[in-house]
Amino acid sequence: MERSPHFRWRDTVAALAHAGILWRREPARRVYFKQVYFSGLQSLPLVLLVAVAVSGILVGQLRDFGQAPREAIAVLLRITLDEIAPLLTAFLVAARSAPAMASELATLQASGEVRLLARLGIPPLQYLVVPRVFGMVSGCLLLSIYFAITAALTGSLFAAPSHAFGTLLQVGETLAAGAIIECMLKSLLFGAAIALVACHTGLAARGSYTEVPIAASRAVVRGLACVLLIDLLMVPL
Amino acid sequence: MNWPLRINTGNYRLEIPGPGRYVLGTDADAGVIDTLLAAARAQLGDAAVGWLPEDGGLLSNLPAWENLVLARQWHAPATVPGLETSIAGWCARLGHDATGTARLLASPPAQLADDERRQVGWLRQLLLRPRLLLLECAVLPPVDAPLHALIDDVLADAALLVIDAASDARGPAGFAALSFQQTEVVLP
Repeated sequence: MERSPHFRWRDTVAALAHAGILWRREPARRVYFKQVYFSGLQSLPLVLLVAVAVSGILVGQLRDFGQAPREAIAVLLRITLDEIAPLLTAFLVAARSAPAMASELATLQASGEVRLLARLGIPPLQYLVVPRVFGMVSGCLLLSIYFAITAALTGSLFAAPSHAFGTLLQVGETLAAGAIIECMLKSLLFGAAIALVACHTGLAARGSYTEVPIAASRAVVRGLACVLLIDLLMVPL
Repeated sequence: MNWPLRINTGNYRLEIPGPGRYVLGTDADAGVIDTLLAAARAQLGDAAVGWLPEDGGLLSNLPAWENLVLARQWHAPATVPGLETSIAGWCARLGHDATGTARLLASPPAQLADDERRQVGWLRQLLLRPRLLLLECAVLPPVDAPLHALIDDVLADAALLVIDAASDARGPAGFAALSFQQTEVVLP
């Protein structure tokens, strides 16, 4: 048994690799669905608001630069799928869910409840970390899809109010499947990075409750840094 | 399970003769609990060994109901038939009516009194039905007759081992004293 349970990358990767076995355990499924609800559903109004605002601003700027409605929608769709949807969604998740996750785990660690779990025979990494990582990945993916759809619809309405859906459908037919796959892949990677960093900073908190806000703050900063780094590394792809 | 149970922790060995109530007086640090739990689980399996600290050992981020079923559902993933009925019956024996039981199970640990947290901790162990249950002395109040009767009924085949950090080898009344025995070392 672990004498002092905390986050170890090797153990975490091994636990993630056996996530299928964990799915059979109801407590792990409960943690997963709570995380999806918190990261994917409760963030929905904020994400939709940002999607509407960003698409409106982008279309307005494109029109100012003299783009026709059809071209404006095409550029909006391309930029949204390539960068804006996964990146802004990841930023919102990193700002909202990552500190909550890190502070929850840091509180459990500071109060000795992580050790308690180990004493109950429940591996903390399998129960606390793996379902949260998969929950946040699912949440990020769902939010990116909502974001992209909302941005496309509202952007079309801003660009061509009278024939928005017809134009959007015409532009959508020319859209490469690779752009959608890239958007989803980025969302998966961003979600996993934010969740792993939040779990790591949360479980690394030791000793006292004063480390809880520090862990929350670190989860945001490091999560955002990881997201930007991953995005930068994916530019050549 | 074959009795007596011999738990070998490396340097020391603990022999538990059979089902019943025992006290292990030890002045060792808290690490002895981890060592004993690890050795016992390695021998008997995760589900066969329980742990109950004096505060009931509830997770603060889960309501009492999720705390209660956590260990049982983790160690035995198959659906447990009649789980709610069993718990409601046990709660009734502990003096909770239907409303009180509903309130008890829906509350987060922070909203429960100390004795309620201990009761939920006991209910969790009753649900798990371990063969060996390690517990801290204060979690078993000597005058709580309904709780003792319930433990005797449900955990009749289990060995309850109180870890007494105060090193009072006599322990509570009715508990047989156990002690670590040093493992024999064969010199070259």
